[in-house]
Amino acid sequence: MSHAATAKASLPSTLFQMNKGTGPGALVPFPDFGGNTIYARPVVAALGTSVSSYAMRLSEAMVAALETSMMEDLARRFAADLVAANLPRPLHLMGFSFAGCLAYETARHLSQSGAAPGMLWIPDLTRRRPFGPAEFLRRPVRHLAGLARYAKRNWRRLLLRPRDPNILEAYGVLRIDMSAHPKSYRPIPCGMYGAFLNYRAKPASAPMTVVCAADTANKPGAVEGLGWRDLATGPFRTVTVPGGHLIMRQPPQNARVIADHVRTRRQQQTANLTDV
Amino acid sequence: MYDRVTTSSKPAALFARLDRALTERADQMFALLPSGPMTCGACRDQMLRLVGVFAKLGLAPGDRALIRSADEACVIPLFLAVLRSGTVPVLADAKATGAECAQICSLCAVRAVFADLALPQALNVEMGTLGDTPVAHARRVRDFWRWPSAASLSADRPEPEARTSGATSGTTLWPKAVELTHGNLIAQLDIFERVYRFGPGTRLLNLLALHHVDGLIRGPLAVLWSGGVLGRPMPFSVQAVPAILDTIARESITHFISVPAMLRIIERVRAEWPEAFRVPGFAFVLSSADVLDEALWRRFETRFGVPVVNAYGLSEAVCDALFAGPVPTGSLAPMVGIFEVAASCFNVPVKVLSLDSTYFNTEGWDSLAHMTLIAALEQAFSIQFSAMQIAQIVSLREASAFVDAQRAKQGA
Repeated sequence: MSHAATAKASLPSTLFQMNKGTGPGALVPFPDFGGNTIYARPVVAALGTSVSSYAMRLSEAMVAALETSMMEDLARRFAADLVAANLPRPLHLMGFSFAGCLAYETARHLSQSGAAPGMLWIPDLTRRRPFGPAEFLRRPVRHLAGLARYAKRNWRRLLLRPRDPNILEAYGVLRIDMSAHPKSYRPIPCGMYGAFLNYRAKPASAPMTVVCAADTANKPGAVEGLGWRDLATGPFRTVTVPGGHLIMRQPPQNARVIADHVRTRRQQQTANLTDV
Repeated sequence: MYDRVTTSSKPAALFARLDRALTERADQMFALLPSGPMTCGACRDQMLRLVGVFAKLGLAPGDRALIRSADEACVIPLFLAVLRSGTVPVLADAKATGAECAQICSLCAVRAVFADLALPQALNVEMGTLGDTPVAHARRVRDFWRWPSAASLSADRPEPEARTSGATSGTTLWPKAVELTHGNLIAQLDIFERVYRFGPGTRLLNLLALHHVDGLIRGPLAVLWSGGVLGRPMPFSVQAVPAILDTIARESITHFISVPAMLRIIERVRAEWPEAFRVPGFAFVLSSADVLDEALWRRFETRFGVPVVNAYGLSEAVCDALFAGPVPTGSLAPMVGIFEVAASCFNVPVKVLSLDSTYFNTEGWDSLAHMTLIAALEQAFSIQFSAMQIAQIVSLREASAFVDAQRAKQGA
């Protein structure tokens, strides 16, 4: 009986089947700041029915506790549900931008429990190093310039008391203005942002591919593998594709390139019977 | 939303719900008619009496019976009884001539004719003929009330897939009959409930003729199905317009079922009274049976400050075609469905959407459209989702379920 056939008919509430593929393996995108996996659509479309796709989403309980949740809490639940769902293997976890942290942490939990994914795909997320004296002293000039730019951009907001709760911004992290978001929507990016700021990634053994936008890779001070190589204790590689941060959509052929990598990797794993 | 419409063809499903409505609300008003209020209990008693009469007449399930009467207090229980006994009701205009009735009888192979005392003259009760057309049973409607008969009903007893027929001239002026199955009726009543939100608090003002599907199905059947109340206090006429509009406030009407000609007359007669429909709880005016031209649509909505839902479509086929209004989405909001809202957010035709539309298989459903959809649904249905619900919205199925849940919560 195939893995697809053994996948549980009733999925946990954190999983949603996006399409039903014919071959082995499953692509599993993780939710971004907005709590959705819309970013993965071009890759899912490019994969067609060759690979089953399942989107992870936050359960009600996870959203209820989001304000105080750590990345590890979210990932632990996702990992447990992935194991329980018995999806077709090998699993290809994917997290674009912020979602990369969730995917990484989930892959780490899965590896620790002996159910490592076939591949972890992190499209264009530079690992955030904890900012403190050690990090400052590592690259003082760069940080001084960065802090000056940050202060210039945010002096009004920094002096304002109380701060505008609709603006999410921290030094070195993407700024999110939620004033145009529906009010009911805001707790999700707010909670996810908090989890992201507090997250300190630990080494993981899951095989990992960082898909790097050319614009990101060419930035001054960019580090190889966007900083993830330092943590990888398993197979690691970097794939560079043209364009900027929104690599999943622009240029359109990027999605196909990523899909091809997923397909090739899956074929290699199937041929080598490394069904992990 | 639409694919959840029940399409069961089992008459039992229809009968059980109608029986329950009439029994459980026995003391409550079912319809306000020109002859006075009719309670659910009174309607049920009359219906049971008639079912007994039909049994004694030997009418069998599947037989067709023509109903032609101007007496609404008779037509409603008579229609329900014919429907309930498994016979096929054929509705004719109360002003149809004897020749026209004979033509309908011939066309529909009618076995029984139930008509008013005086009309049609061609009906010969003693001879059992209608003009030259023989009918097995010809009864004057009022005679039924002298029959001391009652029957017990069971929704579970086996029934054939009986139907109701609407006689329509269409555009040819020749009578033709459209058969509706019980499944058809259930499907449309279900749409009323889900899309128009007809429910126990609904108070319909429907003055359309009962031989017309818009008068009958959007009238007595719809309120029985939803648990609401039907208002038909007087026939529609130009002179009656002020009194009709008074009824809206006095009877706390929530929906006015109309046709474009009515709207035109109301607009002309009471244009200086813009508050007519601005009463608490009033939801919308529904226009059907004819093309609603955009100019009238705009003027009516602007003048009276009330949304008009244009549901002109194949009424005889119980098909409600909802058209987007000429007004901004916000004012049409409570009536338009999830699909209409979603289609405008994704900039795609409504027909490409279904409850299975997800953000993985729907063109235009990107991150921005996702946020726009949530905001638009909240505005359209006057609800606020919880963050927990938003995180679960992957397809229109979840969106629809959460809209229903939030509306139910707010209604409670």
